[in-house]
Amino acid sequence: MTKVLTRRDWLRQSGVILGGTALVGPRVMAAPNPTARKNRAPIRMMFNENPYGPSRTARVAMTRAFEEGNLYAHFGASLELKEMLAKKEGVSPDHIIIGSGSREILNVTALRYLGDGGEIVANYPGYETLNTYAENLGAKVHRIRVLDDMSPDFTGIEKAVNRNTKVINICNPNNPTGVATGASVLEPFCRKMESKSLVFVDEAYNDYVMDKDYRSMVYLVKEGLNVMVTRTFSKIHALAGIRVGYGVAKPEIISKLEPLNTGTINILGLRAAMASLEDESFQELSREKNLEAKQTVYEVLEQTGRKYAKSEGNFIFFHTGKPILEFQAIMEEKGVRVGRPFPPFEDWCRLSMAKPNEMRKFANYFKDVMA
Amino acid sequence: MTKNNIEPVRLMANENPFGPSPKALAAINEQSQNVHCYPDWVPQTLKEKLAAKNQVPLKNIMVSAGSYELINLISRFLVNRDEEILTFDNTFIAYSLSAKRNGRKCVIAHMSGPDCNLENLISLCTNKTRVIFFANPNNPTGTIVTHDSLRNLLETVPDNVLVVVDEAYCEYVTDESYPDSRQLQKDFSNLIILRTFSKIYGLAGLRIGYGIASEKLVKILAKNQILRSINLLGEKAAEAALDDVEYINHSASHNSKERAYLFNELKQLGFVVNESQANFQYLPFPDNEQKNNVYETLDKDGLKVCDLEIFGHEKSLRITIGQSETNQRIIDCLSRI
Repeated sequence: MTKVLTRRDWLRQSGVILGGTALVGPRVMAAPNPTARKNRAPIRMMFNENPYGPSRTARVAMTRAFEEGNLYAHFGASLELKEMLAKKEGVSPDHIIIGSGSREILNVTALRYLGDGGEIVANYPGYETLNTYAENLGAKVHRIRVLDDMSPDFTGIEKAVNRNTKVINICNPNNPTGVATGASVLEPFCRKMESKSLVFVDEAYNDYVMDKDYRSMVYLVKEGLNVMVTRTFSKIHALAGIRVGYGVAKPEIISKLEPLNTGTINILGLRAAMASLEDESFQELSREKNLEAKQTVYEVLEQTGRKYAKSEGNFIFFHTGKPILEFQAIMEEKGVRVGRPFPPFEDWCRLSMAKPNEMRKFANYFKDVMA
Repeated sequence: MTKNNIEPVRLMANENPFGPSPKALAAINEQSQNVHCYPDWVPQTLKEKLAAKNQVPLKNIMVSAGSYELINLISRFLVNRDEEILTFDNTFIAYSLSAKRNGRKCVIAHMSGPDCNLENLISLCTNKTRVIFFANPNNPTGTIVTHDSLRNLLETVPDNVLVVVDEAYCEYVTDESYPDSRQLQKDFSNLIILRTFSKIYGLAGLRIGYGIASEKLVKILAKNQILRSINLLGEKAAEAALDDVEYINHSASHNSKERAYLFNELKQLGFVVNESQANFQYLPFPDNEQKNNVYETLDKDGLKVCDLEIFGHEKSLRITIGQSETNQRIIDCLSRI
């Protein structure tokens, strides 16, 4: 048996490598494509990821957390993250639930509120995870189609609410449309509806919004309203692969959801999330690059006369006039992977923003396809 | 640091004292730059490796965020509200905790010593019993249930009672009477085997476990799974750790050698000890005073062992087997009492 390396030995050795890349490398790492194992992996424009990879500080935090990778250190670290998030949101830690991605929180919300049947009223198309998990449990979902300008039909949603409604499901900014609803509309809606049902607002793309009228609904949570907000580290924080998300709601709600969590969050994700929260310049840079990328796409959509929705997220939803599966195949051929179908808009495409130069490539391909 | 300037050693959570395998660390490092991308919904490569390693079809494998996720899914989705979960009083606490979290009734069989006596379970089995949980080797006592006893349990309980055997510590077992549970699973579709990367694979913080069960049960659990995907770094680290056979073999042989050392030395010092098949030693005492005395003596020396009182068990400690120097420190320290 040859000598087994201890993790200290290994870190000492790998420190040399890391020193060259993570520690003294450029502020934003050029992230190689993860599917590079396949030949000529397509450019990822399908999952609304942050193309810049995790921030340098988050990577360093993950590297340091290797040291505790073999330990059950995640219990303590979860509490630390909870406290940080509580401080950031201006609430007490008992207002916060942490999950393995916000998906875990969406699903336990479905389980808690719709485990014994009941109904959801949801903006449609929207982020479907909560809806489909609830349907799987036997719940009924009323999907209320967006208006012609792609904004949610709040009047229609209100009409569909009845005494069996347990959750009103709104994603803001909405995925896949990218449309953000301003506080002047959403706040009165929440105030009016919260006595009838939990108003669930998924704010996964919160950090990308530039619209001045937009506001996170956390301030209504603070007032004690029956409103819940979720956030994720998978978007601007670029940590989709390590699964960390959180929810904010009043303690009576949180204490009912927490026992339903099935997972425990991995230590690397926790450490990276804590570091990333503090790296505001990385978030700023991601926002700027996202705007630049969106501008390139808006331009080509204008040039080709396509309909689209003005997006407050890191993606754009636009009309191609071709069945999405066909459009997907055409773009895949060119080395670009675009978003999945979002019924009922079967001839629209959701395009995630990659880096600006990659978006220029897309623009050129798109002009050819539309010519 | 303690006042003696000795670095504290974690001997309370049965973690691998050598840390993750170097191959797993290299995989984590390589993949850490890709974490802005979502993991695949199904960790296909990891599943294929697990199927090959365990010589079971792919359709019988379910990967989870630590085995605790599977324990929770089983309690919630395989047990109806009016049905019961059956387990032991001195086994891993997660089973009864999970029953409680998920609002399921838990019936507890008493253990009069360190062994999991399956006859006691059988006598408590009623038509309400839906799932039986126990750990093999048992945590915290380190004892095993033999192949014949497990087969007997499976032959005795009705087919609709699920028997969940948590084999978190199986890689440390040297006793040849230990069950070939994968073989039994082929004959008994109500047997579910749980495994983890948190112990010998040294990846506790990355949360990866898996189950081996009938295709039908795997489908129900997967359909209801709350997390949907495991984390990318854990997935890739687990794949690499499976390939690091040398590291795993070294960890196992180190453990069995050191386990024998601790057992013999403790016995010579007059402690009541039973043989362990895991990576820890169970230490029962006649009273709490003696237990506290031993705990505090070790604690002062930076040796952080598990006082099982945190799991509601009085008069006992559990010591994770550490590196050789650590185990000698334990004995030196205890011989001064």
